[in-house]
Amino acid sequence: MTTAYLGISMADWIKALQSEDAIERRLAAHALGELGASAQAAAPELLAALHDPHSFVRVWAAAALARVEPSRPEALETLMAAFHDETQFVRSLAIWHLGRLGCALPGVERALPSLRGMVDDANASVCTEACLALKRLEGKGAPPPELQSLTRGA
Amino acid sequence: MSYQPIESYGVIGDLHTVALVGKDGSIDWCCLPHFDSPSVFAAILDDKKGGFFRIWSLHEAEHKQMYLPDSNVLVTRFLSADGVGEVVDFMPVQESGKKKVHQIVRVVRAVRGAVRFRLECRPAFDFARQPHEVVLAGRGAVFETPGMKISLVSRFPLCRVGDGVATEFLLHPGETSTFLLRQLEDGQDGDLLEARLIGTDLLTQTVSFWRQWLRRCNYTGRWREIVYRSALLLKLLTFAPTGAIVAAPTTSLPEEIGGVRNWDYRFTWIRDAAFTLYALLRLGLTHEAEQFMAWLEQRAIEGGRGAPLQVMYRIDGNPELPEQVLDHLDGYCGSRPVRIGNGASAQLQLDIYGELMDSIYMYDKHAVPIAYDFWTHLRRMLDWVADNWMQPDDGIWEVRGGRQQFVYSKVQCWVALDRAIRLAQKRSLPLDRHRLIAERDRIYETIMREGWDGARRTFVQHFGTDAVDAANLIMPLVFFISPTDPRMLGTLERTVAELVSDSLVYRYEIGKGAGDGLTGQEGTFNMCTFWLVEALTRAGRLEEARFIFEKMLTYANHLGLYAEETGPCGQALGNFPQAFTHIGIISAAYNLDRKLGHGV
Repeated sequence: MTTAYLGISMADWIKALQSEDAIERRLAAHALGELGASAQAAAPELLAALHDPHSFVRVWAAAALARVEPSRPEALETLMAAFHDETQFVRSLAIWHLGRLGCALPGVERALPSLRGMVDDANASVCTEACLALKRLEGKGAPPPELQSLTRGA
Repeated sequence: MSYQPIESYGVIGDLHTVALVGKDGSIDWCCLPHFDSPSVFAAILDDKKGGFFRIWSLHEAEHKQMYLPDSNVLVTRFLSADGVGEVVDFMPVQESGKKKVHQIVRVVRAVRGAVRFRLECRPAFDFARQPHEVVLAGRGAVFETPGMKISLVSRFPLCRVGDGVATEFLLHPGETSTFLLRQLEDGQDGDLLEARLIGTDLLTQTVSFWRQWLRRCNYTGRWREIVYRSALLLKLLTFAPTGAIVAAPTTSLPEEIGGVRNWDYRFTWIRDAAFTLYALLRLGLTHEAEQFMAWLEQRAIEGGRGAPLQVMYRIDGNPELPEQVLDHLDGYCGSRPVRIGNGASAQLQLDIYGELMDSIYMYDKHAVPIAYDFWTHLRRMLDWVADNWMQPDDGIWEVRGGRQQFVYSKVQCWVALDRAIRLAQKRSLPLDRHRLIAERDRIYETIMREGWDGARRTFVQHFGTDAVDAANLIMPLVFFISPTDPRMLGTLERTVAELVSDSLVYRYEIGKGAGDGLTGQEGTFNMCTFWLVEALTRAGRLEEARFIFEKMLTYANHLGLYAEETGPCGQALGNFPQAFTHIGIISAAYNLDRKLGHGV
């Protein structure tokens, strides 16, 4: 079980989540996400990071939490909330993460209608990421057709 | 890090500079913004301090490389049982007139299975002489040193590691992520880029640029693949603003591992001009020939002011190339010294006048007739040649062991006067014909008398020696002598006997003839092997010529690229990739194919 990322221990990454530097907190969230299930000890700190003052940190923390403890519904909630962020980059980032997490994320089908609504978004990056995420979620390994039909009109 | 074989690299570029990308996914050489600028990555010259930018699969993987067809877009592949990953590397080529942004785009993707990648970027500015600051930012990192700032744009958060950055990430099957490394202009913060969108657009544009360019190449012979690759490389080594072509984009890759023959080739040699123009014209690439001729014309005008031409120039035409030794670098596999600049630029090498006039003659014949003002400058230069051809010089191989009466130099002085006389005749241009014809014939007789060893039946390297030199293989190629003249056949036999090893040709015997003042050995010289192919072709020995040519093709690296030399185990030696070698391929492939005709 991997307990270090780039040679830095999980404990140090958990500490880094408390850094005053938002860039450092974002990095710590990514690192813990890369450690995946072996970083379950970091779940409380990641949950706390979902309330970070910076939306991009919240998004990275949510993506990490989804890998560390996929059953926590807060991850998906945070990512979907970021769809409405005032910064286009954060919107794009959240969609990108959602697409990457894919069908392994419980309840991800709830995000499909919003994603479909963004394929014509005025922002090119948002639009591109939405298309790619949908392709991934609706393609190979996607929720079964019956589930898709249930969610499509939602 | 450890040193990778020279032949393990591919090359990408934007017509201002290039980057060498190893099969391990590491960019170990790149100078920004131009070929002859200080380095940003130079791990090929010092694997600890030189700097690199590597992206690779963390699975234990087999490494492969290929170019996207008919392009200079490089794909480095990592194949393992767990997954297959790729890194697509390129440098976008920008339209002329636009403000230049020099950038390396790296598109990483998982092709099969989920692939975990690692990225490490550790620049080392100015050949690792300038320290820099690293600033992590929202979209990546900025590396800054006085006078230079580059940004690395990354979706994945970067972690500072020493004076560089790193990240690890997992890509799912079919997923891609794009990284941009770009030189920032003053005032740019590099924080407004959307890497995926920009990268996708740039990839499409870059592939399209190279394919459209290559469509102008009209070679249809037997060896299309290697000729096309050679043409793509020559274009890649072209400095777009002036049309100059660098001899090679690297410095100090050694001619012998651990040896001292380590030179800076990031300049343009007048010598290469004739061969380059010949190759470009043969392939129908007249635009490149015109550009290069404009650059040459400027140099010839300077030469016409009374001073002899310089052997080489910077790509912008600047004649200043002071040589400097970088003691703080270990050199490739310990091959020291590492040099920047080139002291040979101040040498007297008389052959360059022949190569220059030959290129002008061919250009006038196959492309655009030269202008009267240019001819006026050339006449002054030719007067100088007529007055000075009998001087000893440093020769084509730029030996540093003292001047000699090199036969090759005399032959090229003959070529200079001969082409001028022919051109004046053809175009009815004014020329002091009587004087130049008399001098041309004097050169001829002198070579036949002083440069010929009657006992050994061979032309020699320089007057008064019995050493042979592969450069003399060029004699029939420049129409100095019939390819079937007994003197040429004798020279061919002697050269094969003394300088050829397993079809590969050494340029001369170290320790015999003119010394270069240095110790150690070197590999066989690729261009000389192609000259042997051409000499055999012209002598009608087509089977031998084809066999050697085909055998030589096996010494290309996995991408069809050659260095200057080939070692005894087939390894690439010297600067890489080298224009001169690829020019030799084009010429030999063209002429041999033509002689073989449409048969098998």
